[in-house]
Amino acid sequence: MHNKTAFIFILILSFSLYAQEQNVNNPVKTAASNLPDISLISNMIGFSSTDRNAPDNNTVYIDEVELAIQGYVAPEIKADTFISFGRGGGSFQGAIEEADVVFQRLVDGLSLKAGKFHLDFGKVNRVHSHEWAYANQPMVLNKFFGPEGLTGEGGNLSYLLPLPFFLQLDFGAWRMLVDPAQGPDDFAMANIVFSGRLYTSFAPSEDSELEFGASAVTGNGSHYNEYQDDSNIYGLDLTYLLWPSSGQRLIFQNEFLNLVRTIPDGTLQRYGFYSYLGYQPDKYWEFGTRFDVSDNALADNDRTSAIAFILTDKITEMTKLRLQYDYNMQSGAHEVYVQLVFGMGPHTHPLN
Amino acid sequence: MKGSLKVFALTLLILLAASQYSFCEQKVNVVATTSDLADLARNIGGDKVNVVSLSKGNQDLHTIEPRPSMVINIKNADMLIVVGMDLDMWAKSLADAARNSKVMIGSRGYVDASANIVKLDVPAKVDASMGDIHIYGNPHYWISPANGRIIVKEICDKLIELQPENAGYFKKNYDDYVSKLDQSIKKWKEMLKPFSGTKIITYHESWPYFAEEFDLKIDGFIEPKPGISPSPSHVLSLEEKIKSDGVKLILVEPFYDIREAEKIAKDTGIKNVVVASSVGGLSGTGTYLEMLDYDISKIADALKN
Repeated sequence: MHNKTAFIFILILSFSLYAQEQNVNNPVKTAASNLPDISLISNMIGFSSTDRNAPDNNTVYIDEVELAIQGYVAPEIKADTFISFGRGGGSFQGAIEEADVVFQRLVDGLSLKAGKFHLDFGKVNRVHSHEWAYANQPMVLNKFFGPEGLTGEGGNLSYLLPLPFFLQLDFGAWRMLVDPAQGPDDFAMANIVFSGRLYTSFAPSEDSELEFGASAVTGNGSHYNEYQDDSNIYGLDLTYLLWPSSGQRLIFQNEFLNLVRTIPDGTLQRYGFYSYLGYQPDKYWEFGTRFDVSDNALADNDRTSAIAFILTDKITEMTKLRLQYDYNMQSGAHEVYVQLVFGMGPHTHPLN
Repeated sequence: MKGSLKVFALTLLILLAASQYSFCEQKVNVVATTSDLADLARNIGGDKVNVVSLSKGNQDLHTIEPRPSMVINIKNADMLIVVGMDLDMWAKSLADAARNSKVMIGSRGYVDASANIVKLDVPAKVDASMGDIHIYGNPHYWISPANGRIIVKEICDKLIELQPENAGYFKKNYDDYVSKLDQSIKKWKEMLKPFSGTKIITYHESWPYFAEEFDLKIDGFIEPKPGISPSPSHVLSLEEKIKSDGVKLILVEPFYDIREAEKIAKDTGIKNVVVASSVGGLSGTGTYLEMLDYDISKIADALKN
């Protein structure tokens, strides 16, 4: 199985490199070719923790290699495929992280996206890990969505209301697949799930933006790969962005989540949030701090909080070097991440 | 609760009505990705257009972050003007999010201002070892006033296509503007004629079209490769090159590291001039003509003294 995946990967890459090489000799042909955008992003992490039982302690590893193939399949119809190679069970495994087609305009303002992709929930769930402002997923998303986030197969209708300000409504229906390797501490939405999101944004000044979102998913929750629970997750997010001058940026992003699970013993109410404050003094550097608090999604609650300090050097548009220190306030564990993200080729994500 | 819902529904209805009312106006809603394109569109469209720029002149166009509030501008646009050549790629995600068929790529209201520009620095092969290279060539073409003439033609043709009943009005504005531009070009060429062949250094590779038009020779860049921060060793070798090649001037835009440029100028005893590469980038550069006038006067003054 792994050999087949590797073979397909090498075949796609060889074809794309061959095709690109053919075209670079003639720039005019490049502009006129029907070749989609092809890119490759790698995410390498070095991790060390004072908690000796922490997975991947004192190791440097490739967390993920993402191959993206993106392009238009017809006017106003766009397709994106992201094939992710990550570690699973000690070896690398390929998986379709996202494969979708977007009908950009069913009618003015209304689009439909179908396939497998990250649900439009909150600010971070849709963002691929190499685009995060930190090396690890906020704790509450990890605990309520699982390590891969909320990802499903289905469709999402998105409507931009014809108003003088930005207000977008999303509604999606999904089949969520649960990782067969789900462990005793893991929870994820599963089976048939419905999602909704309201997202609005204002510009209080020419140099600032205030974004607000409310999201919800409803369906079944899975723990130990069982799908019996009725589970709902509600989320609120608030982001403030300020650009004091060119290259400088201040971001203050917050997400608050509430998980409601009905289990045989009763109804669980679980909460969690994170706040991220980041300052970019120029286009090359970003200093950030993130505060996390989260319950777990299980019957025996265990509220955890942590603080992280992050320094990112944006060497080029597609290359980042990051140093992150995390302190877990319950366990007292100190953790350090060194992350290197590098990529090649044209790579885009939708506005988030 | 029911009362609140009624108020919310009523507010939505009023806002919807207000937004529909705005569509009834006869003006062409133009959105430009840069302040330069916006100024040129204003000059050609006059009072028959509403023009919005998505960026300001003091911003580095490579690093603009698309914002949801910009989506609404594109949502209501009849015409979207982009620099193209992959400089303002961020506009694509905004246009996708706006879902406005009038200005989607390839549609009637979509204007790529670079369409008829003779492109410079088109690479035969591109990879990241060359820095932030644009595959279609150097995209900073609008800083050349000769290219400004090509851009306004592009804008005029599109406005006539969208609103043929005002063709005469747009054509007259175009003729008037080109006449003013041609007179200015003549004046600017006179101002820089004594410095023909002068070697200059620029921070980023933003000035090849300008240099070609005014016969200045770009001898190097403060960035070792486009988009790459200068290292101390690169600065040292650049300083040696400035001295050995007889470079006279450094040009730097306000959003780059001016202190670095000043330090190099001080170390080598040459002049450093802060110039605007987009309209509004500096005080006194409120229009395309004012920007070029400002830049050329500063360059001429620096080279004179």
